[in-house]
Amino acid sequence: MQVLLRDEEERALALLLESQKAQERVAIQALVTINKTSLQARSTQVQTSLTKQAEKMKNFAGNTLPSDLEGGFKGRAADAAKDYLFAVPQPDSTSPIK
Amino acid sequence: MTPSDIAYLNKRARIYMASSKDLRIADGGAGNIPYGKVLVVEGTQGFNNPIGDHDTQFSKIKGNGLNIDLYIKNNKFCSGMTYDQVVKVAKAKAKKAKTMSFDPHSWFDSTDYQTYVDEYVKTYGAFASENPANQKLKEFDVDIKYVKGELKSATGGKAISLRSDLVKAVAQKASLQVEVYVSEVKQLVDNEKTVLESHIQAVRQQAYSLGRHLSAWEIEGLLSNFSMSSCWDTNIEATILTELAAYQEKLVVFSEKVSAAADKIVVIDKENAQLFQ
Repeated sequence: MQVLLRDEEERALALLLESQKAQERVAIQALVTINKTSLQARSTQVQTSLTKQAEKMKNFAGNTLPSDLEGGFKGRAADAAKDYLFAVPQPDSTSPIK
Repeated sequence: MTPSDIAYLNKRARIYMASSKDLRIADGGAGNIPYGKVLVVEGTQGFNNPIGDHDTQFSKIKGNGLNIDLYIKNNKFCSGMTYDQVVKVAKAKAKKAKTMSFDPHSWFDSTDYQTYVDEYVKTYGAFASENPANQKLKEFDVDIKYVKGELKSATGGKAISLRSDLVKAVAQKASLQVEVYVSEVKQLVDNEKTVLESHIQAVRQQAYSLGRHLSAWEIEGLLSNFSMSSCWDTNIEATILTELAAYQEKLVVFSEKVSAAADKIVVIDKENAQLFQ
């Protein structure tokens, strides 16, 4: 009878432990999910800032500098400088946060 | 107030407030001031303290703004600091937090300077732009505008030397601006990476304290989705850096070629003049 009781007790404890573990797993999964989601939002923000900056850089090379240069060079030199500047590519602006 | 009154205040009013924002919170409105340029300084004006309360000497003002240098000297934050200034003060704060203190308010202060940098933006607003380079860039712009104005009416030898000046100024502007752009992007990426690292670290600690009955390997398994390698794409980071370098290279070459050409403009004109002597 006593042996049986101890068995029962152990089984109950094991069950309790299992259910505690299950709860902890769910809690950690939720923690990860929430943080993963907030990271997505952050990534979008970073993406926006990087894109803005890359556009600024492209605009600087392709528009600002050529218009600054106007009057400085004449003829072919002016055209060549403009073509060169216009061909400067816009840098990549993908967010490294996944 | 009419919208134009508010616009007037937004443009002219300098409102100095303490980072605790307690005076404003006591007045209602969650400590926000809806008009003017709000300048926040670290500390409390002493709510519940009749001596310090509403003390107009609390903010250290120099000219039409805060005496930022004084705040840096005392390792305190205030609005209008540049990123580098904020990092300097933040590091001093983190260092101070590492030493023992009998002041219970400081016992939970972070020893990671990044925490303070992140807090800065929330409480004191955005970083100020880096002054020296931007100042210099503005000067180039003024020069370029001036030379262009002069060029309109100049003729002969004068026009030639003005053209050379213009081209030189554009070359200098290009190389400096590119430096600024590139370092801004690098700073942004670096900053994001550091923030992410400490964020992941914090989540790990939370996970371990939540999972007291779980084995370490099981917790690691649950966290595998939230590690540096699963949240930060090093390939993309590398691509950004490579493309930045390519951009910089293109414009540095431009700047060099163009300043060489600026010298030639004058030389060729002189040589051509000698043909007739």
